[in-house]
Amino acid sequence: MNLNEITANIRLRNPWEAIDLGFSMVQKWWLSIYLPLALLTFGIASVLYLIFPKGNVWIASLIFWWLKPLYDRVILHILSHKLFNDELSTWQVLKALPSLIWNTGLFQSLTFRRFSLSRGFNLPIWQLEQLRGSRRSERQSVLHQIAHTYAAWLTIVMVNIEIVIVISLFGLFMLFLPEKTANDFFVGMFSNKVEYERWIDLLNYLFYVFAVTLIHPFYIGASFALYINRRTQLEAWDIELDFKKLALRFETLARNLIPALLCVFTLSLLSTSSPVAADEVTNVDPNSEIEVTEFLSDERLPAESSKQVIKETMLTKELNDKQTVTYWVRKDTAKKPKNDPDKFSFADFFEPFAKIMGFIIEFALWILVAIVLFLLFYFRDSWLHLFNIERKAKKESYQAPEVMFGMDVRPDSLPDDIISESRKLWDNKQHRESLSLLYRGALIRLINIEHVQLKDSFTEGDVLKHSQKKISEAKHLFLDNLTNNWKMIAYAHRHPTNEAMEQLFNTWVSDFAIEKVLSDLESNTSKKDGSKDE
Amino acid sequence: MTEMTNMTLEQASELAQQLKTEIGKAVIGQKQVIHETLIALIAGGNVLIEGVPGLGKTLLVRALAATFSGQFNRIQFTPDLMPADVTGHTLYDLDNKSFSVRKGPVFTNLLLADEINRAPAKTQSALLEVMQERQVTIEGEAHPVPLPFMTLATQNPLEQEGTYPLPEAQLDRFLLKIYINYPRDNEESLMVAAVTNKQTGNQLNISNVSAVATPETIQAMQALAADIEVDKSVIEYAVRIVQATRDWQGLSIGSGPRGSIALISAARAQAMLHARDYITPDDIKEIALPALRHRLALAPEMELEGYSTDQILQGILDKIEAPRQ
Repeated sequence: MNLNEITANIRLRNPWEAIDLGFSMVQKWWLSIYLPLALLTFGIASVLYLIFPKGNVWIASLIFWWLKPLYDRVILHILSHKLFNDELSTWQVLKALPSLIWNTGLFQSLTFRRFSLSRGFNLPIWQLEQLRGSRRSERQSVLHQIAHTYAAWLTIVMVNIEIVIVISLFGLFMLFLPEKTANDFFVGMFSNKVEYERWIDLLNYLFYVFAVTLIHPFYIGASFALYINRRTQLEAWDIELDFKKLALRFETLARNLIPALLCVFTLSLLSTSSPVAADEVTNVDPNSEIEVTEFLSDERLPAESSKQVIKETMLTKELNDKQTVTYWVRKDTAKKPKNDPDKFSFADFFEPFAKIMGFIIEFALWILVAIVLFLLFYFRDSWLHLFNIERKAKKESYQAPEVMFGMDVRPDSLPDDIISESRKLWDNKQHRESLSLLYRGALIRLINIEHVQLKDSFTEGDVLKHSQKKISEAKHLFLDNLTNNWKMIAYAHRHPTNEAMEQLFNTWVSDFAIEKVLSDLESNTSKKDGSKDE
Repeated sequence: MTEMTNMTLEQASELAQQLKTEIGKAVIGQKQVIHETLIALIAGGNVLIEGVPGLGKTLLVRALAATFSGQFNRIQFTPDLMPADVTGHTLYDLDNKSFSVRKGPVFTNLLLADEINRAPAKTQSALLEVMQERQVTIEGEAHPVPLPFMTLATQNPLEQEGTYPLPEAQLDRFLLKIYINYPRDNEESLMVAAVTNKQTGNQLNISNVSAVATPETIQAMQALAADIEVDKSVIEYAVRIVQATRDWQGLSIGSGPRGSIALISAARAQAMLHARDYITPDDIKEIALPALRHRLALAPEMELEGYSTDQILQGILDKIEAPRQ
């Protein structure tokens, strides 16, 4: 590294200015950076696309993203050479790839350091300084002291810019599609009904590769500039450079001035010279004179006077920019009494207990967190469905209700003998109550014995419809008849005839209120009989 | 032709079946649309039919008019249509030196307001009075329209270009909003065969439809339907459904009291079609979608998610407790 060769203006900057310098470096040397980088990124992207075709392009995108530390190294390699005025050809960059892969800590960067937010900033320590182990971590901690926050934010901002570019490119592409196609696509996207289409995957992938190729050099450039700036702060590169420039000027001055002085001296010996003539000779190169006076004054002051001048200079406004900063300080910390070993202090006495309590509470809290996590996992079905309305509708579990339509539908709410109870009500001219009891009994049978899933919102028609496939034809016929009679008394206030009611009572016993197993047996027997007949 | 002004419920139901059969001779398929249109006619309401052009909306109205020898007028709504073109206006008669009223096309039994959402709101609103009060006011004088009267408005789906959405007040005056969809494969084949058989051009053929009723019998059916018994619990059920729409998540505007009235009126007509002299909660549930779907507005987030008012209404019907004593 030869600071004399440095091509950027090195001065002490604040971190944002340093980031600006990084961006300018990329803008200035864009051709040298983008050509090899594009070859590398698009090459890798193409290979990945061929390996992970249809339906798995997201894996290709993920791997491409994961390989970002590799691109970092290539970009830094180019930038570091350009900074010290060393021109690299694309071929030279590609040729350096193996050494960049093996000698720059790429394995660590691709594994446990992959998610480091200051990845770009740390890279020069690995790649340029080639430090490893404790020396690297010491070096890194020194460099991090001021610049780490900026380096981390830089990473976050740049990732976001990449995403913005991908979305913008997609939006731009959509502008060129027919309106209906684009609308359908967006509506489908929001209603989660986008069908898989290869072109969407390919476009997403291409846009992402393009965004990374475009933005990544700026990220590494800015990180590198932050690193250079931090080293300038620590190692006073700017002062060193200024001194070197000064030395160079002196050297030039000495080279021009000594022959001139020799010449003047010889001439003064040969002829009588006037002071005016001497002035003319010394002013042969007025520029060099100005350069000299710029650094060293002609006037040499004695030590006492210089002290006075220094004092006056130190009192100037530029060097006395004092600011008053106020902030809140806790009273107890500000006026903390010094520990008196002889004096009994409650705080000191309880400190060990407080520590034990603190430990117990912390432990209990962690157990609580573990329990909450376990419960969340265990009861995941009951809260996960909140995030998916359709799934909720599908998986709504059914439990036999106890109250429906304002009626008690528990089996034990019915009398032991429904028919005789209903018949009694009917004989007492309580027609509605009689039919109501019968209908309620039918519903309770449907729910608890036939396992028909009924809901509060079901009308009589819905009950019939839903029970049709669950119960035998004979039972359904009875239910239909009962429902019609019930509807007539409930909504038309007309009761059925005694004969119709008698028929209902009889059919209840013969067709409806029989055990399912029995009815199944009967239906099986009838099937067998039927087959025999055939 | 049946002349029955004092008919029984069974006769009315039978007549309604005949009307359906006659309409079915011209309109092939679309049974649900015919059924719901008849419900609206019997309930004395107006119908908004939504569907893309060319599905037989005009044919349906003409066939319906032909079944009871009713008058039929059609107004093609266009952006430059004026309210006076719909209702009528006064003209100065030079011979009699006085103003005479020229009645507009609304003076008819069946009014087909074709593509009603092609005209601006001002013209659409010209129908408000006649739809609600069965009369038209011209120059301060009220002129009743012949009875039975029904407006059948058709509209293209609102997403189409050059359409003006109907104002809420107007929408509320339609008893039912009916969706008309493409016919099924076999129905379409039958229709193509019927329309192209021995016929030049593609004009609507209603020659097969014979009149089975008169305007008076239709009025008698309407009176009979209005007399159908409604239990208090059923009215409460209808009101519960309508009230639920007002604070239901996913709806920004719920239905007003006209929604409950429409539910009961349409359920009465439905019960009459089934020859029943009382209505049940099933009638309310069956008619709830066409009677309420146009009275609701979806919340923006539900629209974005692609939900329709029918889906939300179905959700409400699935949650509202049905009456049972």
